Amino acid sequence: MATSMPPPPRAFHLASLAPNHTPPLLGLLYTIFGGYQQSAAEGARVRNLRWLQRLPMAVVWGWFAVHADPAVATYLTIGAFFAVVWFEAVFVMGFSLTDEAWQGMIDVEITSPSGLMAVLFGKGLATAADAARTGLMSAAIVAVMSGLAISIPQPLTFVASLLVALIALIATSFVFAPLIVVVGGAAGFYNAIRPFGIVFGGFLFPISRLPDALQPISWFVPAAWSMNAMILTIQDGPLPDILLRWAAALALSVVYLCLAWWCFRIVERRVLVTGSSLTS
Amino acid sequence: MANLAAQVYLSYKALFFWLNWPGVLGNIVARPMLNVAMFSLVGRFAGHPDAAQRYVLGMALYSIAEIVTGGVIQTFSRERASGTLPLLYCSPASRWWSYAARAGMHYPNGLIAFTLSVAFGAIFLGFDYSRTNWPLLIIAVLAVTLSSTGYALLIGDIALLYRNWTAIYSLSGSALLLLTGVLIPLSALPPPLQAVAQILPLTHGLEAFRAAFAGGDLAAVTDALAWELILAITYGLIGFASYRWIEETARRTGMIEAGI
Repeated sequence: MATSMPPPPRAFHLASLAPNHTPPLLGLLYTIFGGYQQSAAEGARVRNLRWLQRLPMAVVWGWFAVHADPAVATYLTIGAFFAVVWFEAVFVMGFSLTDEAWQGMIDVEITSPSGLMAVLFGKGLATAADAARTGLMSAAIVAVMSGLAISIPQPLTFVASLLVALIALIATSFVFAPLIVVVGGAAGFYNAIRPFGIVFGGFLFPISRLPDALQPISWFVPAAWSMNAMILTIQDGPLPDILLRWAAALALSVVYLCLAWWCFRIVERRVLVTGSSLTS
Repeated sequence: MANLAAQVYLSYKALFFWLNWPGVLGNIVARPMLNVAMFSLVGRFAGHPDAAQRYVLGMALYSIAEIVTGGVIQTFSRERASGTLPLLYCSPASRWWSYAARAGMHYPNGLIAFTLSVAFGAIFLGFDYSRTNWPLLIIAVLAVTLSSTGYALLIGDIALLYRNWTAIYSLSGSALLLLTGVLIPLSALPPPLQAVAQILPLTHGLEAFRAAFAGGDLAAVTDALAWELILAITYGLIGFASYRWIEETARRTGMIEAGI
């Protein structure tokens, strides 16, 4: 006799017990901001010597910039910032979900009306902000070593390119939080992801410098498009070309965020089905 | 010998964080190749015409120290974190072998990382190995791997005193990256740092290593290789003395895992 399958579990929301009159979008923003504040406070406590660990690398990049022409020195200075933010962000964000599980917070976050992804997105922004400080230190080292040979012909476009690059970087880093749990196994994995992002994200050299056989990989990395826009900005390139690359970077960032959302759904479902907050 | 083999195997299996497929592929396979790509391509972009040859060689050699140091430091850190240090301290086992066994399986990992780095450079970055003196290359690589292992064991002792092993790993690796000439020529360093470079692993081995790829002769780099081996032995002995001192201090004070 065939037995019927049990119905799929339904998410349990605290809101069903205590009605919440906050508009959903505002609640989402509250959650993201709360996640940001909590992570910023915790980050300040456990930062250890992470900032110090990144600076020697900046000295090496600075040495490369010593005899470089101004456009290359500018690119390396900006790239040093992004490379360091990537190094920090992908590592800390990548472990963020498993950290939540270890601290016993996953159950609470899944049952909150805003959901797990909103909380971790707020925490991810705090991580990026924290990493940005080390990134600025690294960029300053490269700039000083290059003799301040910085050249920015389109300041407004440059600022916009910076923002697009930052969005692309955060979106790419964020996807690793749930992905690592879904795939399983994280120890040591980031030691490859970090240089992978630098090589294929074009943070320190344009992706056109990659060997031909490897270039197609970078087409799927949002940061590669945003850094491509950056180099066009530094070279005073035409605005339509820059806009095209911004659009590609932002579109890919949306794809990555959708992928993150999908992976978070899998993680939430896994926790609900197994009843276990140990998700990896 | 069977006891030693068991210690080598168990310290690798039990105390190596990265002994899973993502960890092994990430650290021993992908990272060395990606590091070679990163620095060689940045070098080219910055206008260094000899970037492929110079930085592929430098980073390939550095990849040995990177994986060996990472693996060996973990064995100390995990020993402490797992609470097995007291068991080790009360066992009658030879301290020398329990110390040296930690590096047993990491030594071949260094050789694998090196081989993959050079292969990547040859396939994707136009690295030229046509003039290589292969016997000299093998001797240089074995010597550098040995000195890296001695260095890793010495640095690993710090992980018995200080919890944050990633900081120890990162800073000890940074010293090699900055000061040994793998990327920045020694002549570009201030004189005091040049002096420090002389007592770091890789510095002398790199000289022999570069000579091997340029088709050089063993006789021309004998001194460099001898220095690399002397450093390997010195690091090993100082590291072992430190290891014993940490154990003796722990016994005397009763604070076995009481580092910072």
